[in-house]
Amino acid sequence: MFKLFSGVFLGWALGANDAANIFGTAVATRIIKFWTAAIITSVFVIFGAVFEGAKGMETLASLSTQTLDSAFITSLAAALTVTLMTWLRLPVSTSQAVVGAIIGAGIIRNTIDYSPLTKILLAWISTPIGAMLIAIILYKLFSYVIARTIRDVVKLDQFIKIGLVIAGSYGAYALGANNVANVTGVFVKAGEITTFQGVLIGGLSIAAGVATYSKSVMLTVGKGITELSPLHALIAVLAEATTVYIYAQIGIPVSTSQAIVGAVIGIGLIKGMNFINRQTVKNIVFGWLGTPTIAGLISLILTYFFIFIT
Amino acid sequence: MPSIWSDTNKVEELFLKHTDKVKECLDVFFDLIKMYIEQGKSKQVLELSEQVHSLETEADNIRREIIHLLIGKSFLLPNTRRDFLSLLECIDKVADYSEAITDYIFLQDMDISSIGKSKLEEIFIITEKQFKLLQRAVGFLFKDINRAFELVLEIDQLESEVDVIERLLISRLTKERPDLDLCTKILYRDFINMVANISDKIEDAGDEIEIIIAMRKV
Repeated sequence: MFKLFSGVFLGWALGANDAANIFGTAVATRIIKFWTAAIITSVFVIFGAVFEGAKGMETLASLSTQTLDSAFITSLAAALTVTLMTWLRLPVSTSQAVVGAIIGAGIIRNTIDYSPLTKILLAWISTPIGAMLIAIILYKLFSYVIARTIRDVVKLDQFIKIGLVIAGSYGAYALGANNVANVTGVFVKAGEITTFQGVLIGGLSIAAGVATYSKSVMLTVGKGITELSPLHALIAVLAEATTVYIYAQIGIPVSTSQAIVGAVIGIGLIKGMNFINRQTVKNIVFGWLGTPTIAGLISLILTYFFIFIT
Repeated sequence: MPSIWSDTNKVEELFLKHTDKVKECLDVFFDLIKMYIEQGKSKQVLELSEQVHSLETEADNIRREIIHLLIGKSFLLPNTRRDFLSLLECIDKVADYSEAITDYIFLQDMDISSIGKSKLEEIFIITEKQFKLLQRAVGFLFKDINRAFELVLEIDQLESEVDVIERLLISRLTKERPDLDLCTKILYRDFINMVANISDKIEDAGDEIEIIIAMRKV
């Protein structure tokens, strides 16, 4: 059972990193207190994981067969990649690290099925693009509705504040539903735990990461996008949550970081602010290529040594 | 929830109370200057001066109450609290300036009867109009920000009119008043600048409202 620890560790790292994409701006600009954000995120991540987290597990499971040992190595490799990249301050996506780790281990064990990979890669590429389009649509919708209904500064504040809590809860739910497969999917496939146990343990470990270690990431990420007004931040979070939730329904784990970046770019396009710079594009492309490659290499090396010593 | 709504109503109520008090202070100040031109430091003028001081203090007390409410409660977004505080400071400066000019003419014991009463009165009329527009704009912040925006544009136009009169009065001092020594001319010029500055302060408050609205446009 201790081998499940690598999955829990990965879930914890995911929670610590990805909560920032949901409540980062609200916490950094002191619209919502950190503990309020942490509690809401934790609760809704668990709900999302338990109620709708099983779909993503099927997609990841179809990439490769798993044993308990391979599941342990895959999760450990993904967790090490996420930790290493976070430490190096490089952009990282847990979903992309897990897929890379599954492929790395599968290459050595010769158990890879490449057919679902096209679907996964297309989902990764369309995540920021989809979030951008959804942000543009939501922006137009909000402009129309707010201009006609809310003309009072104080009421607009109430709307944004309540809206950020609702959008954050939705984002946390989508995160749990979409990303829990990354955490325990390989263990479910290995037959070590049931799907329900998988989503519950995954959800709880993500929640633990949110509660214990997400504050500093929230402040860093949040302050990075405070060029946005609170209303624009609300639209960005809602677009991100919608995008991630759509992929939860399709059953493909995607990056919440790339979804929020896409949403911010969408708002920038409408407002005439240029949020697309070389670094942003580099970060996204690195997420698509660099993260799975590094995770794949770590996983490949770990699997090779494991086979060598046993 | 009921606490949130009562607090938001309280902010609106206090803002309107504050602008009313500042307006009262400004009106008394204008009366004081008009009377001072005719009577100098008469008993009535001194009474009006006392009123200006006490109204400025009352406005200050309301301002503190608003600050306490804005800082103590978190029903508004942090940037809105900051914007409201800036607006409040700008509006309060109108009362501050009224008090400061009163002190200035009293301390210098200035005779301002020859500056140009009719032109000064023109400035007072325009400034009063401006402040009335500002009061309405503040009220509309809590009802219809588009309407507030239109009023702010009117405030800007009126400020330009005050600038024209200010420049005319100052140029008259240099070109048409060889009878005045340089020191008196400087005192007069400063007085004219200070009176015209009230209009600038109202415009600044209007600009704050403009920023509040612009930042909240989707």
